[in-house]
Amino acid sequence: MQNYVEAKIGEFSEKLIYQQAVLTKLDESGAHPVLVRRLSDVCHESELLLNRARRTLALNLPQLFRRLQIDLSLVRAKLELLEEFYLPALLHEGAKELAVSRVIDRLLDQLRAPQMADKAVSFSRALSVYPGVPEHPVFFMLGYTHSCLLEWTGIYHEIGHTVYNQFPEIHAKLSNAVLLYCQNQLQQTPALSTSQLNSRAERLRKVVRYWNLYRLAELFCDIFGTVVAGPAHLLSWVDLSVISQSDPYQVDLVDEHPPDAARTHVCMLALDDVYANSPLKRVVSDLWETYLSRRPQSALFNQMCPFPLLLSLVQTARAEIARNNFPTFRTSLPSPPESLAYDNTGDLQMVVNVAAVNLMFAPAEYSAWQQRIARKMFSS
Amino acid sequence: MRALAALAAKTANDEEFLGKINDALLQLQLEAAGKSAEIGYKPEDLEASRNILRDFLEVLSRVISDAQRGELSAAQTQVELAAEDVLARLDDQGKPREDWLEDINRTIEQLKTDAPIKSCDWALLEQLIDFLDAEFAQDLVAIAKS
Repeated sequence: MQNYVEAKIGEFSEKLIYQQAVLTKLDESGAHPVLVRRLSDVCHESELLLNRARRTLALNLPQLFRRLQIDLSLVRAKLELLEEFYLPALLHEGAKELAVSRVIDRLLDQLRAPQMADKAVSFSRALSVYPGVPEHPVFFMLGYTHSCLLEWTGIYHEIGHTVYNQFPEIHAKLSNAVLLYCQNQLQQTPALSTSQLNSRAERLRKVVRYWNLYRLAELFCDIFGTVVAGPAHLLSWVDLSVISQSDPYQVDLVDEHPPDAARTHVCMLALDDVYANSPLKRVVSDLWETYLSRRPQSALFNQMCPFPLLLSLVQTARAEIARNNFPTFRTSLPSPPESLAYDNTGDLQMVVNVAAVNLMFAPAEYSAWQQRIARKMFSS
Repeated sequence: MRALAALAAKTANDEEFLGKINDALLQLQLEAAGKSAEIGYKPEDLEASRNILRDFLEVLSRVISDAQRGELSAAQTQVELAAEDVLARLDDQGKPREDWLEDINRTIEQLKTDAPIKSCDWALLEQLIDFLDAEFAQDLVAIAKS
């Protein structure tokens, strides 16, 4: 084991030297000064761990090898954070990425969300945000995102993650809502035997545990996206769920995502009342209802995602969104032919909502309209 | 809308906590071997390490006791989240919760003193860190698959 630990220290030290050299070059180029400094801090943390491991190994105390192995796994994670996510994004940043980055800045401004001191954009993965260095995330999207307007609706969910991480009280309030719901259930006293009462308590404990920090984050981001981006977000989410053809009621106890049916339910509940009878809401609801038909709810879904709990979470999240002064999207939407004449690219929420209307109600003209808008949006 | 953001947040939390606990245990193991000064640790560092481990065990003990009594509590802090993860792994071991509680409470008492840590307490601390490490390893696999 000693030889192995020594070999890994050497290997990781070489990788660290490479990363430090790349960061020095990036620093000299003047691009992303804040982010590069933070990434250099991450390298420094690895350096400290490796130096200590080297000195500890020299003491030749076998009882410490397991500690050193764990330190090495921490170093590996830091190396991968840079190598898999940040450095490729920074090294391949071009004009298109910078144009998208400017649109994200405008969008954050429109949402009154805190601006990020520094961030990166990369077209190398599906739409997602990687906050490995929390205040400086990488926004990933596929190459066609910047010309497919509806792809942009997912960005509101991703921005929800940065909001959730910046305001820890949101998690505290949502978590309390879960606890309150379960405590109320526990206080109800039907005629049950002691063992039945015990198993009910254990079931409710599992519900509290299921709705952990990370699943509440996903649910909050669905609600956030729908509140700030309106029916376009709802359509985008339902589309994502339907096209995947996965079981909407499946509760995966390992996956951080709640079941699709629970997420759609909260999006429907979070949509502003102004859209209750809108053609777009009706068409999305019909699509979802058709998708759900003949798919039985599982017992585990009913246990983990009961309607009163989801409703309480939506109410709590909406209250937090309003308290933090994020704007609710409630603009009335034009219909074709007026919607096909829409060309104000300064308001991304409106652009994606008009895109949703045009896609669903004027599909033949959609492509030409989308090309015109995308060209204008990224030329400025 | 991949899980990357939530996974990254979980990984960062788990990494930070595992690092803190592993560091504390390493310092106490160096102390037990009479080598802590050689690596540069002072008595106040060792005292802080005892406190870090004791705090974690106290939260874990409370989380297990709550679960035993059927009481509901939501994990809010980093240490509570880690304790919930550890409890799930303890339950998978087949050893009754009351036996774990007994071991954990004994180690808490041990950490309140400056007396040398006994082998059974080392074994418990090592096992708990292995659970935290397994959780972290699972995070890394999930990120790689995302």
